[in-house]
Amino acid sequence: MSAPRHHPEEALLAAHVAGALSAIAAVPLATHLAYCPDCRARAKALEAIGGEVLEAARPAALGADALERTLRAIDEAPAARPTPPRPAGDPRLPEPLRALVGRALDDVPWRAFGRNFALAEIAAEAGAELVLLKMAPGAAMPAHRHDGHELTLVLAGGYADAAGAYRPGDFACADAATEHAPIADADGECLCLVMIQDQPRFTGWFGRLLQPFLRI
Amino acid sequence: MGYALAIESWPRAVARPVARPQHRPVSERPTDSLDPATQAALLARVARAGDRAAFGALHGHFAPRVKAYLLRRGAGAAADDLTQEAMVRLWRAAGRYDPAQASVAAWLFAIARNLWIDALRRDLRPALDPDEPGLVPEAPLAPDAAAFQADRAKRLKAALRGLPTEQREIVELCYFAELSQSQAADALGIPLGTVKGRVRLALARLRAELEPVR
Repeated sequence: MSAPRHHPEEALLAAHVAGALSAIAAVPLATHLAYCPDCRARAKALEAIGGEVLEAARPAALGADALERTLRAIDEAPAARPTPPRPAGDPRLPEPLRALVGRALDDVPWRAFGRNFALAEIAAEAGAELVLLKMAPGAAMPAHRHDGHELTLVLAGGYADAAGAYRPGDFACADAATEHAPIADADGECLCLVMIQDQPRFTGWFGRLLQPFLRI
Repeated sequence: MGYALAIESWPRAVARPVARPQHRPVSERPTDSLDPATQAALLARVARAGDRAAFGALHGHFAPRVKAYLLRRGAGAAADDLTQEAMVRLWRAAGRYDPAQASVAAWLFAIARNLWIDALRRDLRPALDPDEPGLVPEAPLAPDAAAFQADRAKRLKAALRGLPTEQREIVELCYFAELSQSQAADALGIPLGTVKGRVRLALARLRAELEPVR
């Protein structure tokens, strides 16, 4: 697989490296890093700055016995903190997405809408949802906008929109100013991870078709 | 510094809210600073010989800063436990530290950040049951009515997520699992009066969420 060509912008990657994103927004970022050696290097550089920020932080008060308790924890369970058993999951999905989905892609509760699309909600938090989206080969999604941000990571196949061609590992961020109309590549099904913030504003038949499935 | 600017400029909508900044300019470093070379030497002693005095010096310097970072991220009461876990990991992974790759501070920052992201992810609520009948319209509606219903369902869903756990649990049992209130009391092992009280509180709160836009 070739390296991804579409990457998160610096501010978004920095926010992820800083641990400043919500749990759901962090998933497409972390999964993109699994695909992208370039962004792993960028993240490492940002971590170096994180180290400086840590040095400059005003120290918070610890309990008087904090060191003692930490040493006790080190003594008590030297081997009792094994890495948790690798959760079941689809080997086609990279971590941390694999663990979060926790099952084979075929066993995910897909909800079809129309003949060309299927969607599975895998996690939710206030104001945002994380979904897997399947598009049939050549399927065209009607133009839509969003009230909030939409983070997309291609997992299999590909699609194209006005911003270019997206292949596995490619990352896209759309905001309220973006209207886009992705078309799945003709040579296979396209699978994407999408963080939807608030609601995409679809209109017409497509919106009516989609809304019950998003349960909005 | 540029880093903080980059984070703050990212739309609040995607970033989690942060507590009041607790940073001071790098130029005003506290006098208790350990210089990076000393930090690396201390960590090497931990890795080589399990040197507790060396670890103690690193702990004294870094643990309060790790806690400050976690508090700023919003860890609240979990900050002490997460700080301890970060320092335990620093000890355990000391042998893998490579000074050519990163400063001790950057390395520990990444450890603490990963712990924080893991903690956030553990708290993720799984998506509501997609077959939940109360949230799916019964029949096709006129476009206006559909939009209204959609908005209302969306707000209800958000309001449900915002309920305290014990209220949400009750609403799910009584309204979604279609248990009677006494069945729910049995299922949870709490008195019927407590169930009724929690249902009342939860519904008052959901109504309050939905009221303003009726």
